[in-house]
Amino acid sequence: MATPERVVPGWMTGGGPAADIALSTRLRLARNLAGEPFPPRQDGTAASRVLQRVGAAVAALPQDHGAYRIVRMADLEGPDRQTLVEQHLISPLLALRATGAVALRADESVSIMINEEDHLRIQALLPGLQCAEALRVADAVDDALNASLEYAFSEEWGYLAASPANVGTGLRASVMMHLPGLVLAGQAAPLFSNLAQMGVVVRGLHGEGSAAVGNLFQISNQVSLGLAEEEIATSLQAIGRQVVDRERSAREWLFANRRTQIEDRVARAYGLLTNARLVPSAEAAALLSDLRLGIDLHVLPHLDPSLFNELLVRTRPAFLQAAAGDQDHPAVRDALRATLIRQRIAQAERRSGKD
Amino acid sequence: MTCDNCHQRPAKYHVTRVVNGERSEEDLCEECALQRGELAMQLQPSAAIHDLLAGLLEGAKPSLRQQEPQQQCPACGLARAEFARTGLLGCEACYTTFAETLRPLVRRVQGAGRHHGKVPAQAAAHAQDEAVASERLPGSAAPGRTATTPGSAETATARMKIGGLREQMQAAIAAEDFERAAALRDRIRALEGRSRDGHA
Ligand SMILES: [Zn+2]
Ligand SMILES: [Zn+2]
Repeated sequence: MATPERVVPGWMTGGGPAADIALSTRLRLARNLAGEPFPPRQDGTAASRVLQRVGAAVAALPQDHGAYRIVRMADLEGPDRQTLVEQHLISPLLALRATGAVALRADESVSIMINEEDHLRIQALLPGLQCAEALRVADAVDDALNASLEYAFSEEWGYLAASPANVGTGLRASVMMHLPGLVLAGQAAPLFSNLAQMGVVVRGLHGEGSAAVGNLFQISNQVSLGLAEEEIATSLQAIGRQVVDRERSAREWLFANRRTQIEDRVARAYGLLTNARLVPSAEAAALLSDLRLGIDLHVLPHLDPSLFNELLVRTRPAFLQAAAGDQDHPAVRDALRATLIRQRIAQAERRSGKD
Repeated sequence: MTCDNCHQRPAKYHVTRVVNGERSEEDLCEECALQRGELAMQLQPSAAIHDLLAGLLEGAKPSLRQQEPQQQCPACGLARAEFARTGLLGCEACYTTFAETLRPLVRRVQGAGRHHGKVPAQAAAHAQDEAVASERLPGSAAPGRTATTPGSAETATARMKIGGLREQMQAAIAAEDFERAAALRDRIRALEGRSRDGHA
């Protein structure tokens, strides 16, 4: 039996370059096997054949690639699938596919999605802003798998994907950013429209546009064809770096010019999170964002930033649904969420010697 | 408007999904959308691009639409209309079948028309096999096809055919129709022999 609860991807521990703002970098390569229909036109037999072939290729990976375990979506309950989604180890689409599976590396830095929209989605997930390193990791897995699997490829179009939007390199890199400073300073929307002109897509993690709940944004490359993999990774890294710098100056400006408002905001969030008995999901995301801003600005110097990353995932509906079991109901979940947050903050404070 | 799931709270998100080529739309409240992971769905930039692609295809100029009327991929059977609806291709041979439609679309979506990245180690080793295979396969390339890798379309089609025959063979075995299974096995062997080393 798979136990996704125990999975803790590196990004949740809060390390990595510029990790105060760039929480994680994800990079995936879309690949399809030669001679097999793409998953959207696959029947059950073709899907099992692909799973079997990829499973054998994963088992044949050289030892220095680390150990993998394969988890089939059909063997997981809904909340357990959703948990993998909330940890960013699989995509929401894979969670919906009965014929889907994922090969997870023991350190959770690599997940190979099988029979998603393409036969293979090789994903590297690293903490902080590190596009080049994520490319290096995914590329090594790609080479090793290609030693036993032949890919659908053409000179003109590159790696053939089910969607023409992914053809070419099959590469999509995304950086998850926490941008409360830009949002509070009203600079997020103009920045995002500039980024769109540079071929970068910005999406709210939970919510839409620049009004995303919890101020979390996903910044990714739009184009996968016509550029070399390194060029895509390098340019997203440079753009990510710029966004980090803009966010830092927005925070500095806010702290210099709106200090009381910021401190009030953080203190209110802290007060609610340490006292409330029912916390709905969207409210948790918003309050946790304020809490994290307070940690970063040293308004709450006694708390560790990793607490934010951990709570971000553990307060998501599926995680709590798994904990609530038979009693699962939105109100039960809101109560569980509130209790979990209070306990984790109290633990973190005990550890840092406050009170 | 109330939520399509709980029918209680006001709907806040319009969720469009294309799963296995089936499109579905729902209006959900925040709680239900979060619960179902629909908001995380928006993380997938490609979903929006599918819609864009499908839109471009549906709104394509009449001249473009007439170029490949009623066209179907010989390998996987995907019809052009279905591609237009979902924005998804069915197999590697689709890229050759629908090449004329794809070229302008890809250029619009990707801003480029040619791959400049990594080349799989295996593809290089197979390039020669494919050139040989294309000469031996029955049914020469359609006129006017300007594939940059000559023969790759035919080889891809042959491979897809083999895949389809294998499935039929397994079905025949499952149905204990061994005569049909044996006939299918012979056809697979013949195709495999041709596309691999020319011994028909
Ligand atoms: Zn609802
Ligand atoms: Zn096809």
